[in-house]
Amino acid sequence: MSRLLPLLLALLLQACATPRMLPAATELKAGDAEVVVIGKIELVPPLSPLEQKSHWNVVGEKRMLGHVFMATSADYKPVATSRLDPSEFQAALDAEWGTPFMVKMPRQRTYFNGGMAHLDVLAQEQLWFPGHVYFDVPAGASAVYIGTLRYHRNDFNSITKIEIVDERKDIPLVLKTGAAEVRTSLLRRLR
Amino acid sequence: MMKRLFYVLCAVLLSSCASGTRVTDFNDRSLGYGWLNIKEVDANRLYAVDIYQYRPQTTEPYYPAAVRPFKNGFLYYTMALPNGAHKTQSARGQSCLGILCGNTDYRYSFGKQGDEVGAIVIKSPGVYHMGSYKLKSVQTGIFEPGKFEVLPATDAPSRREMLEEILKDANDVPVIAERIQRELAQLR
Repeated sequence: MSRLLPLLLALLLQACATPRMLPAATELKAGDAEVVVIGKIELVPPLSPLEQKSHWNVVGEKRMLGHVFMATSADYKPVATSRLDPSEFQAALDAEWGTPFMVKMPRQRTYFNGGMAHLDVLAQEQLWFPGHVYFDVPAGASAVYIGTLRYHRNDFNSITKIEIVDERKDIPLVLKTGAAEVRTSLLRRLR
Repeated sequence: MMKRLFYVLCAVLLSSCASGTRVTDFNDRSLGYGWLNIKEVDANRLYAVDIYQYRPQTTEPYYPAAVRPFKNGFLYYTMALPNGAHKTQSARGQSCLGILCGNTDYRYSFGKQGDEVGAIVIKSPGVYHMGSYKLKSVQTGIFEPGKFEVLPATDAPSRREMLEEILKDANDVPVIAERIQRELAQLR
């Protein structure tokens, strides 16, 4: 019985988990165990306002629509796409579609486990995006550029193609100085 | 002043009741129809099926379908689909015993991603079958919301049977009735 109680508590706490976002970076400084990561996520054709429904009474909705949330971790664990499980998004990359991001991540090989974008936060309608890619952090690098992860979709939002594109021109958009210090370590597909 | 306020209030109330644009010209519209077997889910009476327009994008993407019990399942159809990409989006039902129905609203959403269920691309006005499917409950944990899966229906009525049934309702829309008759002539 005493064993059952902690287990039950753990299960209940897990059910209360909320997604946790990776911290945004504003400069190339990162802690010893961290690395600054620069990249971009695109969707072709892009989501239009007509596809996303907003509600006046949903708090924080503006920070969700137009964004993609990519679950990351040190091991490859594909997210379940049947429902949103916050415990899978404990180190989530919050990226605005088509806009370069710069975040701090743990200094380690990092896997993208799958992404999610809200269509209607209230009705819990989402689109899901496969991960199946990773990047490495070169020794001594304080910042890495991982490229553009570009998803292509068909009329019914099925993902038909995934590209990884080198667009280093994005770096100066998020970084005013010090672009030369950013090492390129493009995303790679898992075999 | 009060009178004006009253009119404004009425206008606001009426606008909140507004429904989609009514289609009156069916020359460039298509019939989309399908059939659902719901014997293995909680609801036993369907009262609404919505079809969603993916392309071209529009401010009014939902097309409510007519729903009626038919051959141990439910036939649904709309005669108002414009050219574009459409998919059966959701079905809503109740659990009823005779004329008494529970107040739980069961909503079976097919999601907005993927073309496996009830998806069609209309390139020219005509008659389009959106598929026949069986909904089946999936066992979940105590704290998990209910889930269901969609399987191709093996006991579905034929397209001919469904079209003959829909034709009974198409008398007011001669252009669609003519298209159904043309389709029936092509079916064996």
